[in-house]
Amino acid sequence: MKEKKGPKSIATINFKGGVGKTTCTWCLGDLLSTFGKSNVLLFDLDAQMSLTQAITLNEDGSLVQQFQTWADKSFKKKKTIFHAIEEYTGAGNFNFGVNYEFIYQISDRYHFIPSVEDLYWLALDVIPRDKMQTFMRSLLAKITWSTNVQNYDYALFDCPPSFTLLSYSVLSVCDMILIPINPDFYAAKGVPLILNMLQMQIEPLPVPKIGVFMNKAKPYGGGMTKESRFYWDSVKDVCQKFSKKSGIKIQCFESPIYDRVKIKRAVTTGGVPPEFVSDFKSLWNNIERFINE
Amino acid sequence: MSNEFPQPSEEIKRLTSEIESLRAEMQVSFRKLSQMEKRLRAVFPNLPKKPKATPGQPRQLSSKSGEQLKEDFQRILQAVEESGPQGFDSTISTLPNEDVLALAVELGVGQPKQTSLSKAVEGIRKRIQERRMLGHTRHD
Repeated sequence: MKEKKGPKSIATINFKGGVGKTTCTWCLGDLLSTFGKSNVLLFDLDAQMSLTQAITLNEDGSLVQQFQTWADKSFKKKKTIFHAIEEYTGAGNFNFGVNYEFIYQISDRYHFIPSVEDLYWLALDVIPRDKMQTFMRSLLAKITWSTNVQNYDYALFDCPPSFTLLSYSVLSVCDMILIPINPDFYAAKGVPLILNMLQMQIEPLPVPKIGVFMNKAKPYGGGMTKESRFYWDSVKDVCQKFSKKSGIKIQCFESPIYDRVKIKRAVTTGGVPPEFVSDFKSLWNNIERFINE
Repeated sequence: MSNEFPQPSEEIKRLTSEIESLRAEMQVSFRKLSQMEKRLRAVFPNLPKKPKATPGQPRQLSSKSGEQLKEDFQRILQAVEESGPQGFDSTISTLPNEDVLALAVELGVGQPKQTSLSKAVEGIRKRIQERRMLGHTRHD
């Protein structure tokens, strides 16, 4: 049988809300597909649907017509991510067909699997954890082997700010976990918290590589302010300590994303703002180097 | 309607009259003060004048590099880990004032030329507490 390579998978998570998980995940995907040569598949796993709404709503709050038509069809044909989970965890075989009724095409090389409100059911633990653990691996295999959709180089996951069964399914199989932090005490405090939680929840399965970067760094004279630097140094310190004691590979990327106003509307305006391209390119170079190590 | 609280218009009226009466009292006091001063100078013409405010001495700058200041920070952190708040006080007291001020700036809790020594010390104390709280993991 011919060997086929699945996409490299990266999951963005932090239990602290507002650190920029959604914006950064979206920007990285846009960067790779627009400025790079990669085919990217983006997943919104958060039942709050922030990413889905940002991609699919017009600036006046109405739904983009093309997406509306696609979403209606996808729901009628039972092709949402929740239907895939239902089928996978049900009694029968997993015969979920992957095609463009399941995957929405934002552009030629940037494709998207939106979230649905039904994902809130996963918070109720109605599905056995063991069964759910292998869901994303099986789904990615189906996507890889499907002849109905293109081959993807990268799968990017925007995870909810909590440890749901779906996050568990992704975090325990992805190639890298990406943690954005901000230059403030509570966001920085989220790092030891999430490292502890990842290890407790994922082990005895191997914990994937973890990459950490500073988002919304306050700029000053070509670098970051002393205050941002203090929090970044504190996070590096705790990561180094944790990595040494747990054996988990953690890298803190020296490529901050600076805090500038335009980034807030990056998703709705449909492109990484020009002044951010070089920040994200530099971040991506570090991610790529680490993931391929 | 409840009479518990006065109407805003009544409150404004009351406050305005209170301010007016205080202002009048202060004007009387200032007038008395300046009269006393005039009489005093008339009797003692050689009375020294009020000293003019002189600009403060320029601050001495720390000669330490950022790395050396970070080492100082680690030393204070270590002392606090070992001896608690007393460790902080005893270690910071060994540093010259200019290094304390420079360390506060390095940690982003002070502005060069503006931060007082006491504010610098409190800022460093805050950063030490934050670093300790950030550093705790399940492996500790």
